[in-house]
Amino acid sequence: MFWSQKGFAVSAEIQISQPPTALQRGVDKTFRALCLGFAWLSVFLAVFIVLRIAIAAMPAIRDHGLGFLSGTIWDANQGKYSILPEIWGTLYSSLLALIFGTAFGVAAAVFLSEGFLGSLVFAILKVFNIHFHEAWGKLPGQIENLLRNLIELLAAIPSVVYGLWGLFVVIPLVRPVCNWLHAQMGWFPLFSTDLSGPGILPAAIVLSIMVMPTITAISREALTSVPSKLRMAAYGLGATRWETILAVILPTAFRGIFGGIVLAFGRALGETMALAMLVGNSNQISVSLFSPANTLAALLANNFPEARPVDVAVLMYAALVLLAITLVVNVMGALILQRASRGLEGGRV
Amino acid sequence: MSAEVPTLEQQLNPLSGVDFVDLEKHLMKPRTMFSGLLSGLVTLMTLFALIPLFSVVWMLLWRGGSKLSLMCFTALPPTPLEQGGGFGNAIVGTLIIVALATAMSVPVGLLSAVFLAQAKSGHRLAEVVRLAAKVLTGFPSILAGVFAYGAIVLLTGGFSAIAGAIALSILMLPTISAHRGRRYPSGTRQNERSGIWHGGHGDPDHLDGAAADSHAGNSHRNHAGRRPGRRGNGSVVVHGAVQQLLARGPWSREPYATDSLAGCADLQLCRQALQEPSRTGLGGGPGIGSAGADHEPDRAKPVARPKPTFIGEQRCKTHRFCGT
Repeated sequence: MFWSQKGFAVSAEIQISQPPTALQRGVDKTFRALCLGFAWLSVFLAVFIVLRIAIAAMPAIRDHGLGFLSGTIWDANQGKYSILPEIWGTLYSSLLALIFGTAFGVAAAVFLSEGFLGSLVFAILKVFNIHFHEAWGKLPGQIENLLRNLIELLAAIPSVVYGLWGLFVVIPLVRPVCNWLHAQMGWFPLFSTDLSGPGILPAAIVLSIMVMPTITAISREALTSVPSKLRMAAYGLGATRWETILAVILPTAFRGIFGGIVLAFGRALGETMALAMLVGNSNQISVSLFSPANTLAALLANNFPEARPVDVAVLMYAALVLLAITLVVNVMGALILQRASRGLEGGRV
Repeated sequence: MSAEVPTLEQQLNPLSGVDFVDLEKHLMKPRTMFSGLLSGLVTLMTLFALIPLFSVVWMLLWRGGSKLSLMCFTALPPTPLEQGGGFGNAIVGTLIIVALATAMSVPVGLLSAVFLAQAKSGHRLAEVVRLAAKVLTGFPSILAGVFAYGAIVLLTGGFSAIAGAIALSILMLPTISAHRGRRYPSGTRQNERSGIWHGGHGDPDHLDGAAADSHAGNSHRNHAGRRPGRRGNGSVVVHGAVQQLLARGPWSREPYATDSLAGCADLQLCRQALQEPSRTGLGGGPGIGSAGADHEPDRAKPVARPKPTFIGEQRCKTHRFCGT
């Protein structure tokens, strides 16, 4: 174990090692104490935030009780507050966003993880008959990296910019389509109103783009950690690439992907600025994709700047509801992901 | 007589009676067509998903690009109905708030991340800290604002940069301390990880396990056409490992061949330290490696020893730390 066993002995004259000095011990101990202290601080901070919001909401909870969650009127002049339309709008827009975001996010994850780029690049090069040249060896990997980074760049665009983009690009783009759909199929509940400007659908489209990078990143991680044994076994049995993906790889990675989707859902629920600009801020419950609505986060963002002390307590109550919803969703997502990684580890061994 | 031999061969030949035309992968078969169609669909969807990025950039340039000038960054916003002006105050405000928030969240986040990385698995406080980090990860930004409003603005009686910075630092904290400690190259950490919060003792087999671990992980994941990297000398490997630690973004990525190289850093160092006793014992003493029992739960334990081909020649033949 020691060098002396190896033959080239630790000579007595040259003293390489020495016990740590008092200063070194002191620095070491201080550093440990600091790490421990800051770890406690981050726990304390999380608890303190929840408590602070809850305490600030107490007066409103006493005044309005559970009726706050089930009523549909928000009228500051009459002192009547309730947030059912906001809860509905939050869940509805997030779910819609999740449907679009999952479709595109998982597709991109499959595309980036299953070697499609390799075959695509190969096929293109084959047209020019240069597919065996060495120089292309790294090309698929590089393009894959580039595409992945581009998709992750979507997450780096600020929420307000997405809101502007929605106002200036998405709404004018989808409006004719939506109004045509309403004119043709107005009997269908989803198309029962026309799109006059801001509404659920543009908000959900923008929101789906905002959550897509999360879904892609986590799904891709889940897909790449599927043991390649499974993939090779499926190919060996004669399955085509998509039979392998649909029957073997996606089911194996399902838990990881699902955990990512739940985390993205949590993110969609809390998204504020883009939704405040796009959702229409109208206090109504409607199934229609084109009607304006409101979300909890947008409600908070719109009402906080000119809130009186009475309103602040009510808004804190709304914040507490939002906090509860996101906490439940996020912790669920984290737990699913944790179990997914354990399950995969089991499969890998 | 001679006619019987081919029939015997036909009986022994497993491919006899197989219709090779049936095996042919024809483009018009439903299976292959389905596969091809889905491949095209996925490709289109991925490219379609990238449109918003370019659309956003193009919109910003098209609508705002013409107004862009140096004055924008320095001047104050214009009064209504007046041309010119800029958003200098907003830029200064952004810088102040981001600087304050960074100064607040980086020490807390970094040191609690160090704590998380060094605490042994099952450490109760570490579990609580991880849970807190998870709670804060998905924390809606509006709630951080609401909290800062309730805790600072109402108390001090006015909006301030401090209040904004505190809200921002709450949002930054989980990204910095992110519970992604397990993504560090195992070899690097396990060398350092002689146990701050647990009594570490040398476990020769574990070192081997760490290398085998990253090796096995790599062999599963390098299907994207990456060849295992070639070996370098110890310092280069360590440098690479450190660079990787620094280069890690908020998004994780799969381990590449280089990770496996980093996982072997301890082996390389061990070998060099053995041959050059004048170097103070990098990887030499009994404190090397972490306790075998503290294997991270989310890392697979290797069942098979790694094949000696990858770093076979580099491996120390006599010293048991390095595996044989």
